[in-house]
Amino acid sequence: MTALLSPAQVLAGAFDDYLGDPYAGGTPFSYDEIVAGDEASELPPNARSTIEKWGFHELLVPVEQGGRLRTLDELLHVCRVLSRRNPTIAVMYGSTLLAANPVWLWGSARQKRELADELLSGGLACFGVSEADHGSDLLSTEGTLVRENGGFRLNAAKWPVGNATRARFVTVLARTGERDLSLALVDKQQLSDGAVRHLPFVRTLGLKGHDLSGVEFHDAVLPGDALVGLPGIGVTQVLKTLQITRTAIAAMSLGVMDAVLRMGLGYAMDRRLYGDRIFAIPIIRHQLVQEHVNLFIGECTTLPISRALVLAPERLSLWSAIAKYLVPVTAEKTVHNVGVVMGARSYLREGVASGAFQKLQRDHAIASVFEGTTHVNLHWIAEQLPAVVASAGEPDDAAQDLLRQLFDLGDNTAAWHPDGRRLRLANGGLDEITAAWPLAVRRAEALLRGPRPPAAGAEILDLCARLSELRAALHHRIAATESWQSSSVAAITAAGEHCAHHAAVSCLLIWLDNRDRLGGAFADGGWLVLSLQRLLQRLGVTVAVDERHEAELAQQLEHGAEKKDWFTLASLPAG
Amino acid sequence: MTKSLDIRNTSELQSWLRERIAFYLDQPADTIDPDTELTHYGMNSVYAVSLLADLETKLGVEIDYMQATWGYPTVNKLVEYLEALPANREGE
Repeated sequence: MTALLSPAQVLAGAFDDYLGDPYAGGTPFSYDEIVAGDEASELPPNARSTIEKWGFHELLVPVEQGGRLRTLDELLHVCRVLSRRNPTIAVMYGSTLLAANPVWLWGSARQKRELADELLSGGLACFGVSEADHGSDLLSTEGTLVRENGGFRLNAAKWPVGNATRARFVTVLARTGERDLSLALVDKQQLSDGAVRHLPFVRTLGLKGHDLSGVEFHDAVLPGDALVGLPGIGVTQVLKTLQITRTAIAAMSLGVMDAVLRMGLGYAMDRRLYGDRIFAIPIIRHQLVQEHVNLFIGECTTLPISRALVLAPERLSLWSAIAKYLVPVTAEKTVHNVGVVMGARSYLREGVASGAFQKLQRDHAIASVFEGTTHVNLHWIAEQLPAVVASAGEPDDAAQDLLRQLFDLGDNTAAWHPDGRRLRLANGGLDEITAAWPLAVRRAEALLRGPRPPAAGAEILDLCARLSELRAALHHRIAATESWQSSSVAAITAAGEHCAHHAAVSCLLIWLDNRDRLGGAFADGGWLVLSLQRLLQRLGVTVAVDERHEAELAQQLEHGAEKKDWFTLASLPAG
Repeated sequence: MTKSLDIRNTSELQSWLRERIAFYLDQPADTIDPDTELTHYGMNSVYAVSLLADLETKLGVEIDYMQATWGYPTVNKLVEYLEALPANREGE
C-alpha cells in the first residue's frame, strides 16, 4: 500500500495485504476461485473462515459492544477492499449490518449483548422488512405483532431478504396496531418447531452464492421485551437505519470501480494490436482515464458523507441518498465503459482476471437497486430540495468548522456512539455541503492570487464559473416552482442535477482541505479539472476534454498499474 | 391514551404536541420548532394521521384531518386550529 488519503485507510490497507493479490491465484479471494465459486453459485471454500480469521466480522459490532466498528469511514474503506474482490461477500455482511444497526441504535442492553455475541462468533443477521407485494412501500406492511400473555405473537412473511435462511437473528418490521408499525428482534433458536419457515433461495442475475431468500413466521411467540426501541416508530427506525447502509453501498461501488479499472488497464497494457499496446490508442486511453476520474468523484462524494455519521448524523437523510444515488450509477457507467475497452474479453467467463469482469458486472447491478432504487433515492432528495435551496445561505462559523472536519481527511473522526435520536428523517433544509459552493470558489480564487498558485488554478476557476451559473439556474428553477411535486419528472431531474453539484463542491473542498498535506499532483489540481469537466458533462454541458491533464493522468495510471497501487486520489504522484 | 389534556391551556397543548411529534420522529422535543412546517422534519402523512388521532383521543374532539394537515402545518398553527374548534369539548 502507498500513500494514504486518510488514516481511516490504515485498517483497510492491512486487510488488503492480508487478502493478497487477487490475480495471484489459489486463495478464496483470488479471482480464479471467486469465479469458480460464482460458476457453482457458492461462496468460495474457506472464504468466510479466511476473513473471520482476520476479524472482519468484528467490524459489524461497535466498539462499545466489544467489536471493532469504530467509524463508518474506516468500515467503508474495508468494504471497498472486499468488494474489489467479491461483492457477494460484502453484501452478505452488509445485510447483517443492516439488521444489526437498529439494535445498536435503539436496542436494549440484553438485545445488544445477545446480538453482539452472535455476530462476534461469526453469525449472520437479516433485516426482515420487505414483503413480496409491497417493495419500498413500508406503510403497507401486512405482518402483525400482537400483544398476548405478556409477550407477542408474530405472523409475517418477509421476502426477499438477504441472509434470511442462514441468519439466526431477524430484525422484523410488523404491525403492532391499526396505525402502528414496530421493530422486533427475533431469535429463531428460541421459536417452537413450525413457527419459522424458510423460503427457497431466489435465483438472481448476480451475487451467486448469496442467501437471498425469505422467512415466514407462523404464530411465533416472542418474549415481552422483543421490541427494538419504542412501539409505533418502526417506519422512522427503518428509514434512519437505511441512511447508514446506503452510504456503505457506495463503498461497494468504489471497490467494483477500482477492480474493473485495473482489469481494463491491465488488458490495455498487455494487449497488442496494430503493432502497439492498445493503451497507446487515444480513445482507449481517454476512456480509462475518464473512468479513473469517475472513481475520484466517487471518493470525494462518499468519504465526507461517511464521516458525517459521527460528525453530523442529522444531515444523513439527504447526504446518504445522494451517495446512494450518485456513486452506484456512476460506477455502472464505469463498468460499462471499461467493458467497451475490454471488448470481447468483458464477455468471457475466463481469460482476463479469470473472467471476473462479468461476475463483478452482474454483482454490482444490485447496487442501484437495493435499499431504495435510483428513483426512490432521487425522490427523497427531491422532497428536500425546496428547503435546501431556501436556506442555502453562506456557511457560518459552526458550518465552516463542520465542513473542515468533514473534508479534511487527515484527521480521524471520533468513534461512533450509536444513537437513533441523532439521526433525522429530513435535513430541514440544512445542507452545509452544497451551501458551501460560493465560499469554496472564493477560497480557490484566493489561492490563485496567493504566493504559490496551483498549476491548474485558472482552469479550475473557469470551470467553477460555469458550474456557478448552472447552480444559480437550478436554484432559481426550484425556488420558482409554486407547487413542488417531488415525484414529478421535473423534480426528479432537478434532484439528479443537485447530486452533480454536491459532487462538484465535494471535489473542490477535498482539494482545498487536503492539498497542503498531500501536495504533488493532487495539489496541482489536474485531477480536479478533469473531475469538474466530467460533472459538467453530466449536467448536459459539452466540454472539450483537457488533453494535457488527461495525458498526465494516463501516465499516472500506467505507473500505478505497474506498482499495483491503490486507485485513489492519494496515489497521485508526490511533488 | 387517556384524556387529560386541557385544550384551553395553550402552552400545555404546544408542549404536548412537540413531545408527541418528537416521539414519532424519534428526536428530542427541543429540536421541534413550533413555527416550522412539520414536513421539514420529514413528518409523513401516516404519522400526521397518528398524531391527529392521538389528539382526538386526548382532547375528546373531532378533527378534520385534511383541513388540519394542509391548513395548519406547524405546531403553533395546530394549536390555533384546536383552540378555534367549535365547543364540542366534553363538559361544555
